[in-house]
Amino acid sequence: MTGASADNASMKRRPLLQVERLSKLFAVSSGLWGKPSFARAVDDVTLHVRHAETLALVGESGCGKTTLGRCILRLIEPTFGRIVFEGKDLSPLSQRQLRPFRKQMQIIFQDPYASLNPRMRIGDIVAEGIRIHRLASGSEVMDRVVAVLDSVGLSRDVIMRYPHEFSAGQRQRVGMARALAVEPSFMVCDEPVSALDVSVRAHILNLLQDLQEKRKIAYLFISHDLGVVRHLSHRTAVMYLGKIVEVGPTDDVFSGPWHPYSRALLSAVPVADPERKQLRMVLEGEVPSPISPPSGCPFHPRCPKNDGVDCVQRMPPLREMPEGVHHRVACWHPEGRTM
Amino acid sequence: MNESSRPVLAIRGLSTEVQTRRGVFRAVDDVSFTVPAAGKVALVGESGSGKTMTALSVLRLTDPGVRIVAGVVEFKGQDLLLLRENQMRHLRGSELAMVFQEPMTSLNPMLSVGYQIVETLRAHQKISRKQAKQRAVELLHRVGIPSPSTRVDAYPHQLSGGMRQRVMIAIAMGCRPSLMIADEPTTALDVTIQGQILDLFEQIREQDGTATWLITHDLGVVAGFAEHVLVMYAGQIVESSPVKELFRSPLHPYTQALIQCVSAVGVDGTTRHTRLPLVEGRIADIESRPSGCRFRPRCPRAHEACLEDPPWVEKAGRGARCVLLSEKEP
Repeated sequence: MTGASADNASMKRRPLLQVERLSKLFAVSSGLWGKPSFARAVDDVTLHVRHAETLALVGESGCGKTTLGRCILRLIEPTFGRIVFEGKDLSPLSQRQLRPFRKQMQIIFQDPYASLNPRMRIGDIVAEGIRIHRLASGSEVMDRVVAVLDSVGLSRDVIMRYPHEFSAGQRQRVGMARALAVEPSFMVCDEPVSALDVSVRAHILNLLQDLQEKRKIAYLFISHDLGVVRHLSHRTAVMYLGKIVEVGPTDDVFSGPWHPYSRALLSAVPVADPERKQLRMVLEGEVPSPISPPSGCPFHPRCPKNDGVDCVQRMPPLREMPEGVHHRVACWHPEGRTM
Repeated sequence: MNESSRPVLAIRGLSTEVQTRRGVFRAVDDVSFTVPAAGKVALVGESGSGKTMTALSVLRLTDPGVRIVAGVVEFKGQDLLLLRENQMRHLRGSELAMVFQEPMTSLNPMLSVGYQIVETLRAHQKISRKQAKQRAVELLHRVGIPSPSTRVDAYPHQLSGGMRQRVMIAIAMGCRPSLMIADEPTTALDVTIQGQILDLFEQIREQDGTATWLITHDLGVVAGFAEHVLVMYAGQIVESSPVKELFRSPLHPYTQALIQCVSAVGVDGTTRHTRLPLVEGRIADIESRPSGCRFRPRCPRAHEACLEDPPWVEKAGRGARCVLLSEKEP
């Protein structure tokens, strides 16, 4: 048996969150008498998030990034796979057993209009989690609310007001205060700045960074905005049709993507500089339906490197690339070249 | 001015007022600019700046309660604001086309896309149903829809967002318009599709000589597409400039801040994990705009002179609404 000290050391090395072979299938009815078919929104995803780290999840709409985020929190029940948080497998737990973990794992949403109850005052919205988890009682509850509002840059005057009285940026701050009130160690940020104007966006991004530094929170940052991802994240995972096709340190993925899809995605981002001629890699066609995904590599029908054999027949595994550390790519013909 | 640079659209002093419960407010305030024939002009601004209202005013598609109170909108030599409604209806969709942000709400879900293209063609041209259907297939082919002869019978819900936007463009280009007004045409689309759609506008311009007036909040899209840029803030044009000069040396403090905000979060990653530059405050609500310069409360260089209405200062084909430019002469 290993001693307690060895156990402690492995505790420190262990990532905060491990997702193992997670899949989510949605039943899609096909007419009255037809057999139900399934859409694989998330397909055999394995990833981990370390303490106080930001893992970005990028991909186009419909690639399954939001579903994956919600499956990890079990806001959507995963069909297969394990979610291990601080060493504990969450997948078999009942909703009641999950409750202590809900305090640890929070989420902020894209739409700051739809995600706040319009009939609740800001103070109650933020206090709800504190009350449910009995983190404070009596007058201490409001003290905590004031403190957490202050940490997101809102004054105590907002407590008695309703969501409709605030701008989009301020509502996003309220959403963040609600999540932070229970002092989570992990937060899913689902497109938190996509609905905001550029001049407001910078405030929220700075705030997310400050909070991570002060409170050591790990983020799963879901976004289609690659500029924001590069600015904020430590590691980046690229998703396509429910699968992770490339994952690695953000700088490596952005400066030297190996997967043809990552390359195309990065080259398509408009650059705010009219004097830099962009070489866009134009992809043929559109993302196929997850109800009838292509055989083999899901990207092969659109891929310039499709060999017609391996790519069509077998799904490439996520493999470690020779250069870089922990940079893994699922492609039969990865191409390492700086962009 | 040579023939090719004669503007297809010239807007002078356009002002539009909105009636709310608390009074009447100016959503579009003294807006003037031109779109050259076969040109590419972008109107940029954040939400609430009045850019969509400007387009709707030009098209005379504003809601009841919104009134165009002043200005001239000269489209190919005639003032649109003086036309009768039936004349205006004749122009819209033929000479003057539009593409909006959300293709799902602009298309009728009950009708096949072919029917909707045919309907527009036949409203403006004397052609038979059969000819129109043939033309619809051609148009779908031109906008890059695969197997157009079967897709012509598809309904909007059977198409992806990018495909629906292509259908909208097919309808818009059907009558070879002189001007296409595109209001956030790529905002709801993924980046890989966004590039394809912008290329399509470029292609239509080259083939049909259609000018594009692009309305967007995305400076990245502007940089890659437009020739000339207008920046709108709180109902006013605050800067007008050719695209290269705008990004190289923005004149107005608001434009400077916007460009700084955007380039700080670039994919090239030069500013990773640093703190981003901030624009303090937010766009003033239409009902409580400050006096004088409207950007004053957020401007790092605001001073006493900014309490007065700022002058429009023009220099070498560029212009900006800022008192700083008239103060210091180089």
